[in-house]
This record gives sequence, C-alpha cells and structure tokens, in this order.
Amino acid sequence: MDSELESKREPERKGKKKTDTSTIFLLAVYALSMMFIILVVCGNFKS
Amino acid sequence: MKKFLHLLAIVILVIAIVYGHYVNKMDGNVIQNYYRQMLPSAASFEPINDKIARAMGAEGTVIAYLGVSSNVGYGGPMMVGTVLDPNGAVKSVIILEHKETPSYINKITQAGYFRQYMKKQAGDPLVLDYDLDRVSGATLSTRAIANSVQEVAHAVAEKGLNVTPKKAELPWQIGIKEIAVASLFIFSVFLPRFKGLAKYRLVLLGLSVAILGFWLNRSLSMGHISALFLGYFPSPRDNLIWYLVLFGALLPALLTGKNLYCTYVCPFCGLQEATHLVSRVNLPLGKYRIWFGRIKEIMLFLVLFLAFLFINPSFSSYEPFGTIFGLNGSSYQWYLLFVILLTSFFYRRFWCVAFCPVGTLLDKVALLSRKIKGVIGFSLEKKVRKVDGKVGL
Repeated sequence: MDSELESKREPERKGKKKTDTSTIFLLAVYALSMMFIILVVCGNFKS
Repeated sequence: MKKFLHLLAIVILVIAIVYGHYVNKMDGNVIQNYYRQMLPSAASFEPINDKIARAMGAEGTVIAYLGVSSNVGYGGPMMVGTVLDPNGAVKSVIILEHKETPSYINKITQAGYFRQYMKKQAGDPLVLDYDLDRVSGATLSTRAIANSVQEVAHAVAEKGLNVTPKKAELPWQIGIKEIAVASLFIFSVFLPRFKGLAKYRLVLLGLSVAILGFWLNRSLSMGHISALFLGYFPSPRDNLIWYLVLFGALLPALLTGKNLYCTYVCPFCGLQEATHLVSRVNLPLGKYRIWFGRIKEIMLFLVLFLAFLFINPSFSSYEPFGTIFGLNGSSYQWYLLFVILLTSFFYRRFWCVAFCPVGTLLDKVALLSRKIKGVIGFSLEKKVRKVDGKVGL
C-alpha cells in the first residue's frame, strides 16, 4: 500500500485465537470477492 | 528477478497493444458490412466518402443515406451508424460497436434516448443539452453518440443533399462541477504539506464521496488509465472532468512521489473509511497483506493486458465504483460491492489493500518517481563530490 496510508494506519489488534477465526473469515471473503471479480469480467466479455 | 519480471510485463503489454491495434484495423469491407447490418434491405451501397454512402434499391433509386462515425465515450470509441431517408430525415441510429460497460448501454436504450433523433433533419445541429436531452449517469456515452450522428448527418447534408448544415459553436464547459473537482485535487496537494491540516483528510474524503462519487460518478477507474495508453481521448471542451480526474491523480504521483489520490480524493476509499469509523475495528492481515499486494500486481497486469489485447479500456474493468455511485451494475457487481463494504467494517480499506488496480498503478507511478528522483539526486551528489574533490586538490 501507499506510504501515506501506511503511516496513518491504526495499530492492528493482536491475539492468537482471534487471528485464527479472522484468518478464516479473511480468506473466505477474499475468495468470494475474487469469484465475483472473475464473474464481472466474464460478464463484460460475454456482452 | 523482480526487475526482470517487471520488464517482461512491460514488454508483453507493448506487444498486446500493437497486436490489438493490428487485429482491430478497419478496412472498406468492414464498413460495407456495417452498412449491410444497418440496412439489410438495400441492393447495394455507393460510397460518397469513407464515412457515408447512398443505399440503392433494386430499381436503382436512392432509398436512404447512411454512414458510420466513431467518437470516444466513457470506455473508449463507440462506432455509431446513422440512417437517413432520401429527404434527409434521421430514420435510425444504431450502436455498431462499443467499449462501454454494458449496463450503461442498456440504460441509454431503456431511457428512450434514440427516439429524440427521429424528429431531426440532416442539417440540424445535434448538441447534447441544447438539441438533445442527455441520459443522466451516461453523459459521456450519450455525447459520443450525438457527436457521431451529427458528423454523419452533416456530411450527408453537405455531400448528398447540397444543404449547408447549421453548426453550433460550443464554448468550453467550465462550471460548478469542474471547479468542485479541481478544488478537491488542489486541496489534496496542499493538505499533506501543512501538519495542522492533516486532520481534515476525512473531511476532504467526505466531500469527495459527495462530489466525485454520488453527484458526478467520476471516480478514477482502470477505464481512464487504459484509455490513456490506448490514445482514446474525449474532447476536452466538453469532458474537462475526465482530464481533471486522470491528471489530478497521475501528476501529483509523478511530481511528489506520493499517491495522494488514494489517500485524499478517492471516493471509494472515503466510503470504506466511513465503515471503519462506524466499526472502529481493524483486524490484522498478517502475512496475507504481502500476498494480497502481489496478487494485486498480477491483477493490474491482467486488466491492462486484456484491455490492450481487445482494444477496449473498460473490458476488464471490475471496480465497483460505478455500481455504488451510479447505482448501476450487473448482479455480480452488486454482490461484489456488498462483500467489499461488509468486509471493510472489519478490515480497514479492504478493497484498497486487496483488489484495487488503480491504487496499485498509482503506487507504481509514485515509486517510479521516487526512484528517478533518487537517481538524479545521486548523480548530482556525485558531481558535487567531484567538484569538491577538484577544489580540495
């Protein structure tokens, strides 16, 4: 990310258990978003 | 290795752009095919010039005049066909090829935009907002269509009907919209220079959400950037905002070495900041931040590669900016928007961190600028040292 944004980022919360749950959530939403992005581009190609 | 990959990516993009232009080259046969598509009942077409022709009936009489013309819309050039009856009245207007987001074309068609042309004569001026009503949210596309129809109709009036067309002299469109957009970019350059003003970043982003987002729906997208590389420039006289947004984002990155657009102006960043302000949650991304960054670079390459290969700036564009700010998009675009906004309650600026190709490109431009400055600074330092050494001797 951009250095300007990096410097303004708030400290991230720590905690192992929380990170584990949040990792599953993160990867799930990332995969879901990626799937929709591919479908959007496929839709552009079709039309 | 990283340098080699970057160089390879640039070489592939250059090859894609050259190949795309070569494959999409237009010739006489293509235009004849367009004429046939526009008026299948005609026996033959007699070209008047490279843009217009007479459509001949089976008895050898002129049954219509027709022509094709291309003007740049939002996503790139739009090829528009116009058919006029033998007396010069517009009979039909057809979009033959376009590079716009399909939902915008549907919007134009559903709004009944094309019906306005049916009352027009070949010599009439056809200027958006004066002689024709625009379709709100699809201004650039409707203006490109109007310009194309006018070019064909006036050519038919002059060359086919010996009528002098009425041409409207358009002034530069500089109004409240253009001033508001320019102000956003000016503030974005000044804000980081003064420490006391830094706290107003969110205020500027809020204004941008309102102005560049919901009011004008003109956020910077990959469509702008691909169009720049493909050489598709709309008329600055009536599309000044297009230039303000593109160069307002690129020039500060080039000159200051900082990506100011994403931090201070991007309306979608503003929306995500709003969700973060509500939740105040920012879960850790950990090692995935680096992976997301790498995948974003690959996505940027793919977006540019497909746009260049198909000579279509908006073909591979997937940003949800138009969906939220124009309230217009396919179902998948709405699902994507929902997931992104929901996630940004938990991960600050999730779109920017994980997917945004525009931000990735602006970061690259800023990095390039810093590198160039570093090289210039280093060589200057070297020269100064040399001079100092000589003086010392």
